[in-house]
Amino acid sequence: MSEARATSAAAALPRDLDPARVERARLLRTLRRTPVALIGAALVGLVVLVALLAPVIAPHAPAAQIAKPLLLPGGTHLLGTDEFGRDELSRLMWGARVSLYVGGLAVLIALGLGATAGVVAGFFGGWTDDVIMRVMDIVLSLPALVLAIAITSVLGPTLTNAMLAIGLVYAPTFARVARGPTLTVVQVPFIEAARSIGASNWRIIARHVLPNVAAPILVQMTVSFSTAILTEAALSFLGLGTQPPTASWGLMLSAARQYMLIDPWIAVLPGCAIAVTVLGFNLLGDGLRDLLDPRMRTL
Amino acid sequence: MRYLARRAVWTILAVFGVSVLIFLLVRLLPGDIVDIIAGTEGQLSRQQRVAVLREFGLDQPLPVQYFRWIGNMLQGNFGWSFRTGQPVATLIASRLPITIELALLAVLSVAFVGIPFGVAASVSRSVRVRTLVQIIGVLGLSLPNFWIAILLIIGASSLFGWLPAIIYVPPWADPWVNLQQMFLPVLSLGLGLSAVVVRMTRSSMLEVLGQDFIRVARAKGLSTRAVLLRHALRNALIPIVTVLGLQTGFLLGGVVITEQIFGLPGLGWTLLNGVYQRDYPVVQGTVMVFAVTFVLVNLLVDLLYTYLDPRIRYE
Amino acid sequence: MARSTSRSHHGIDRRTFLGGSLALGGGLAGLDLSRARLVSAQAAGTPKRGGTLVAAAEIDPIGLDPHNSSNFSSCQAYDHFYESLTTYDEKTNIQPCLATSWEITNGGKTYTFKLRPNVKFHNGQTMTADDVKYSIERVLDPKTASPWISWLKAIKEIKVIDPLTVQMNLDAPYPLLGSFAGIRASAIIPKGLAEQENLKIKGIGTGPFKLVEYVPQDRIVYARNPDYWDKSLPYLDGMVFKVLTEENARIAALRAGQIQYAFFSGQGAAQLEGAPGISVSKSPTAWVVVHYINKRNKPLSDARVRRALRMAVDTNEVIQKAAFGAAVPSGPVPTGYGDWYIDPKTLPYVKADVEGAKKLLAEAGYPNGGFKIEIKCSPQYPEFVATTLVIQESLKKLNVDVTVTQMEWGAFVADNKKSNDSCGKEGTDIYSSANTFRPDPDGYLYPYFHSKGEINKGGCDTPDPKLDGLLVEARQSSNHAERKRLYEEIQRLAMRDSLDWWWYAKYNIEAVSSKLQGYSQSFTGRRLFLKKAWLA
Repeated sequence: MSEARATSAAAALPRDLDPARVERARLLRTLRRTPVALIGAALVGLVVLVALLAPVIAPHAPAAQIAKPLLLPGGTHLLGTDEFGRDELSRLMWGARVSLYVGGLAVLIALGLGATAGVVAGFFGGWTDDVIMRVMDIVLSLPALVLAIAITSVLGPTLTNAMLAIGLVYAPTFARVARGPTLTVVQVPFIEAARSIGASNWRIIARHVLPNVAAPILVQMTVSFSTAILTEAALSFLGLGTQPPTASWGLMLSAARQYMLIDPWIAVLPGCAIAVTVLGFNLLGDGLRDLLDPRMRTL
Repeated sequence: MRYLARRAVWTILAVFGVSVLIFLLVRLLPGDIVDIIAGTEGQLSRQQRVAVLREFGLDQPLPVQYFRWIGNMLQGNFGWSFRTGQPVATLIASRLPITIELALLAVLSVAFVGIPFGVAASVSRSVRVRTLVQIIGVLGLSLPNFWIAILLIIGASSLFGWLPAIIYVPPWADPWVNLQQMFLPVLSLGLGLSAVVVRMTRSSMLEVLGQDFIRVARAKGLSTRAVLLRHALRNALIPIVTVLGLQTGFLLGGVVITEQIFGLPGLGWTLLNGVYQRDYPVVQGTVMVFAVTFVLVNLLVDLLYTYLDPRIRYE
Repeated sequence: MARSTSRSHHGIDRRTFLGGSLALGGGLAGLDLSRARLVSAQAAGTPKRGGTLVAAAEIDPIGLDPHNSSNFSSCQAYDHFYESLTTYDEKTNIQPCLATSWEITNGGKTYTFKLRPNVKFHNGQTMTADDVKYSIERVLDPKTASPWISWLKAIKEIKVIDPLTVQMNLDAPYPLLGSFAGIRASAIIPKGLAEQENLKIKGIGTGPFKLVEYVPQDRIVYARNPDYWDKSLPYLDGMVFKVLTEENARIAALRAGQIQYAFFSGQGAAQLEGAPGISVSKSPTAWVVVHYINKRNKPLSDARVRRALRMAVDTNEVIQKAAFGAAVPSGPVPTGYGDWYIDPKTLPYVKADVEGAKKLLAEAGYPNGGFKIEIKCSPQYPEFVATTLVIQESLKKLNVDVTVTQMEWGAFVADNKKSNDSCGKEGTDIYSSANTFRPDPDGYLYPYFHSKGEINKGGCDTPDPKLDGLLVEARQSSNHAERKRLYEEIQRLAMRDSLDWWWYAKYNIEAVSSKLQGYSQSFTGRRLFLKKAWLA
């Protein structure tokens, strides 16, 4: 076991000598070898495209109550209509915008606050670690709902404010996920060596810590992105998120709950949209993880 | 030991921080118990309003309210619920076991299902296995909790005409009925959760498997099984344990929907109703219980780190 | 935690925050029943004693204190073990209950009740006039903080004449009987009980069932009261109401035979269609969906604008989309309420009239619309949000821009209160809500439209002498025909000027397993007649 751990520690560090060129070539090679990432990228690209082009390609306005409620898919309304007689396809297209915005915003906030805090805590250790992680514990203990109601009632009931609360609630998770691997890396003798030759802390973090933290963080990001989309549904239902009649997948899904057996389509379609998006992000995340991880090329 | 002592001090500070924050936060919520009593149709006169506020001690200045609450709590008195007049401590004591049972069963089932699946996904050369695991993982992630729960409950009743007895039976009263009642809720919680764990496991297993010591171990002639379990999995467990630890915390508060849909009278739902009804003592008491649990679980996780990876040492 | 916020937790009452029950006089005469299967008393078979009913409660009752619980859910829970002086029969007529007879003298200002002899409380004590005096005085005490005090506050003095006679003196004529039949705020409890017991979770009354146990957010357990004054009732040995707030769970439990009774929305009922062994009953109930309008600010201070906007919305479209068709158009007094309501066939603005609305707007100085209003609603009640969305969409045709703002229920209530308390100076333009039971039609009109009314929004500063006069006259008259005429006139005035926007009276939808027999619905929405039901 002892030799294993020693080598593992060494392997935890990137070995590139001429990073730029090697990296680019490797990226291309791996990308070709990992269709998973490509499929993921394609799905994400599709969703982003639909979100961007929604105003152009959506056949109807997303809030327009233009037809009979609960029409089945087919006919003039390709995917049918919802309980208000709104075109389901158009709502799905517009909903992509909300979902991407929501997921992106929450994850960015959580990442910015959490991952930074986690790396700093793990790297410097001692009091810094204690203070940061205990603050994170406090944040984690506060119920997201209470936080969301409080924030939106002070700053106004908008989606952005609600996601602020969610981002804040996710931050401790990122902190913990980032701190673990950081702790491992800083114990490695190589770090001592790097320090002794005068490398600054920030350089060490950027060159040696971040690559090791990237993999679990990426996975956490894709997971959080998905949960953020679902959380938006929950918050919207409470009146804390998306304001009607704006279309959002989460809201569509939770509204469809009352119609589970009457018209399963309106429950299934937004579910599929979420699944496709989440699948895309996860595949992309897995692919990126493989790409970013210096050890993966040996596999 | 010194580490533990230091950690204990910090833990107390953190819990204290939570108490101040939650106390202020609930009072920041618009509306109070008087508004909730009156609703939009009833009317309470100013005189009546004052009477209610006085009954609940809400007429006192905030610092007085806070220190009275903290002082009582240090003596084990969590206060009384505005809405039911019951002691909050009794309320929590009767609700907590249900939530713990639910969370524990979910985490256990996830650990026993999610980790093996994740390991399988990381080592399998079969595209089919990998794809299957990936799909399960993504499905679990992309379907909201409440949706899975409803699907299960509707499916069980309309396809099989089956549903367990609806009045909750504690495991010590009738373990068999209790297990039946827990089956669907745990399933609905477990699906989403195992998705997270499967992915985490796969990801960190791949990472560990890519390292040289695994090849060394293989070269030594160790069986695949031994390599996987003794070397790879143990090294891969850190992020998995982190996530599981976090999820346990989340579960305690996050089973609300599940509790509500299946009619399980647990603590998550109690907290949520407390928030809706501006029942300050219930919200404060419940959050404090959650806070202590979070902090303890996280402490446990940190200690597990040192066990899993002796290189990590806390001074 | 984050996901915890989904739509299912109605922390507060789904069916309603408040509302007692009521309806005087003539039953459901004249109501168009073609759309609903009305009051399905399943009169098959003869009553049988025994058995425990397992039922679902759609919402956790928030406290069982009959004198200060604001929620209808509380009333649903304590209805089985508390009673008052009067009650309702199946046709919503007032009937004797703990009082066997009464006399109204002194120009409607003195009520004298003769009490039923030998009525036992669940603790064995015999009910007397002292208990009545104690109970009603408890409601009137500001410390009790009863949200329903307005129903009884006309009472100036309660005199015990003898152990079975109580006299109440009013400061002005007020129709009091309904307040007792409405039970909310008027349950009779043993003298001194409130000082000895935590009434929020315990209770001792005279009702057909005794309260065995209430476990908040879980269940309410009742047992048959063997000493009930109506010796033949109840038939059931006991009842358990399990709190199942998720409608899909109630559907599943009913289908799987785990419960024999539950309450549903229009959507829920549609999902039960064709399920074997389950029968669904629908009938109108006192639940009127209404948009309260703040009439203080332009342009909504102009009656023509309010009317124009109302005219542009199709009531049946609202009913279809918000209640899934399970409702009837209604004016201020809920359709089906005694003979006080306005026949839906003669209600104004049921069909949308966009051209008329445009003309009216032009008259008011807004030829092309072009203004913006905000409507606040709480997703606690999806039907309010749905109604508001239909309005928003319909007003686009008038080029009127509606901002829909959703708020968490507690925040909504606080905001609404702020608007009321400031006479419309604060808060927003329109609030989406519903009115539930009132002991008298007066309760749907006076508090809202009299310039001294407790819930008058933004009209406080500008009294309408004509409306004020009519409201006072109707309250003080004791002639039924006269009052009926006055209330019709008041309602028509209120609708003409669109003082608020009334949409529909929802159906009360209850589904029972075929094992439960003899149950009939009540216009009040209360489960008054479970005492007459039995398990086959």
